[in-house]
Amino acid sequence: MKDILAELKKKAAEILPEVSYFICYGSGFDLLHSAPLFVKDKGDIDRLVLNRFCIHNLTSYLPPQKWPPGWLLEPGEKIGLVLKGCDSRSVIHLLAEKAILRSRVIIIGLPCWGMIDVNKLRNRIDINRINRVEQDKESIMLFTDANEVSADIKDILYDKCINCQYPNTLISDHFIGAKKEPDKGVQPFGKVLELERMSLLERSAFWDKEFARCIRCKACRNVCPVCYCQNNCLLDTRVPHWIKERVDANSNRWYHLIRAFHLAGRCTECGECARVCPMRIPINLLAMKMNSELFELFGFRSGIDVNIKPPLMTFQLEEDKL
Amino acid sequence: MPKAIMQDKLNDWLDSIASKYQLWAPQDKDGACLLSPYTPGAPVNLKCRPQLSAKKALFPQTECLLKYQYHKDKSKPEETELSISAANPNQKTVIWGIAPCDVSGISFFENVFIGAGYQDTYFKTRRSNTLIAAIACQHAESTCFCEAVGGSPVSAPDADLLLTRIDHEYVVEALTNEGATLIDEGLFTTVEEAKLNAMQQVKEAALSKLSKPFELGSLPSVADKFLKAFESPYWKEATAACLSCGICTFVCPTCYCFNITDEAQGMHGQRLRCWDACMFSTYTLEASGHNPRNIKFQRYRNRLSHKFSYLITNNNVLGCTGCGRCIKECPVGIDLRSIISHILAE
Repeated sequence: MKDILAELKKKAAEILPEVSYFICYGSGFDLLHSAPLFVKDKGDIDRLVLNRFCIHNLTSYLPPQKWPPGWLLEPGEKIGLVLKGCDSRSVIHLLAEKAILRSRVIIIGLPCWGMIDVNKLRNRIDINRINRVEQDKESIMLFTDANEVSADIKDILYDKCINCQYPNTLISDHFIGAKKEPDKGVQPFGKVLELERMSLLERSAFWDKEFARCIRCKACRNVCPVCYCQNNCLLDTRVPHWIKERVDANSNRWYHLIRAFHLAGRCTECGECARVCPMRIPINLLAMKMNSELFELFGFRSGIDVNIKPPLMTFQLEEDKL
Repeated sequence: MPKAIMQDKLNDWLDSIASKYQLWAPQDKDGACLLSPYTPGAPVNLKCRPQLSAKKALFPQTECLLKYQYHKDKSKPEETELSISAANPNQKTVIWGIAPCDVSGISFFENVFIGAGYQDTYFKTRRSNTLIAAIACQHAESTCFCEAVGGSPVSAPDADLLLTRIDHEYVVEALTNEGATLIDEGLFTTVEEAKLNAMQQVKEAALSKLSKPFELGSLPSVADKFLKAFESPYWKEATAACLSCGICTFVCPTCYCFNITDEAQGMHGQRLRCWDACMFSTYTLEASGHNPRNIKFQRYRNRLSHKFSYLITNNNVLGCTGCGRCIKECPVGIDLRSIISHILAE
């Protein structure tokens, strides 16, 4: 990973004069976190970080509808960014939807061996006292003053990284490092199938419990790369007042279900909505369910091919699959 | 004199409190630690920092302020009568097992909601019917900085009880007479001097765990520095990654902004007070379409300047307890501590 970082810094320096920002990863508030880093000056390139904690999908910052002029970019400005394989699906989908212009984006691609879910480390060591981390492709060592543990990477990866189908950036202007072999025999909607094995009543009780926790901070929507309706979102309009101001399981259910419908065949399964949720609601499963339906009906998977029109953006007069 | 209770007796104690009070306690629920209403026998978790602060017990996210009903008399169709019944949230309540930073948050709310300028009946009623049992915090997280904003992890002067864990036992100090009434004699033992010394040591050890990311200086000087930094280009740089979500405000023990909505159903309805967040772009959106804080750095600047400048000028208090939730829960790792350090040094 160290050689890739050196190469990434070199490439970033090359493209920096062309872009207003180069979006990448920098260090976070402790050794187990990284954070998005917006590089403007050459001097900041040294702050770049590449490790097993670069989970953020930087595509969230791309749609200009989501970040109107002044919020991030001025009209006509270019943006550069580094993307993992999973994140690049969001770019492909945004291009397929014609939500962004390819000419405005410079992408650096790389191989990814999966990101570590800090929540899965909690029971192994006091994650608040880590003072040293050593990592390679297969394992990680964590040190505190009093203790040290090693862990097999496979046991602590984010769920979406276990059996990854798209470890390499699918669309890029510059690819650095050697490509990683995709995992075989992947069941893309595994978690959805688990939920579907529940009875209707069990499943309903499961979601009631989750929706009751939601505090409607809108982080799931704001982080979502394809949720770019901004102030026209059903959650923000007051006339009509689609979603009640009251925050309870019932009104939260409407918000999440309507949003899931809007994400059908659009969600690129980056899992950011579930990652950012401060109440730990696995909210990505709803959009994934919609995706599984579209896969079953049309064999469609979002964010794979720029030239395939997403099913909900087109129709045939005689639809043979419905 | 403090008393002690064994860990395996905690549930008996809580059951006894719950028979007389509405009781809030930190509990693990589906991968999240939440301060929730206690049901008898439920396991509590005194080692976690609940996802949301204790403000939700006194300032609920959705609060019904009043219910209203219109009446029509068919013989006088031109007249409508209105009856209103205001909520009176006077249920006796105990908030149990919260850290000193959350107690500070409640004290902060008193300053705003029942201070010199304004008296909020709902908050006042809740607060005057609530007792607080705090616990000395021995599990500082990598995001904690209570000492840097004038707090302490091991003392909570505004609580009614203070618990300190020593191995499998809790020493309980009554800080008020009302707090003392919560101590159920049958479950507690007396505390000898050796245990008091052990308690002191535990507290000192907890203090040494904390990092101090900045030296604040006097409150008026902080207020002044934030005012001077208003036009700084740093705000835009520091908030480039911000997603404009409401996590930092909703998890914050001192953020108190709200929205009032009438929810009508035909001839009757409720007036609701719900949490709002100044980080939402719609928060300052005016009816004309103009938005004075349209850009995200303006919103973030306002949020921090409110806590570290305007509140000091207007109420002589700091709007931050150092609980670190906004840092820990921020989806893009915006670190309040480094922003404060930067502004103080600018």
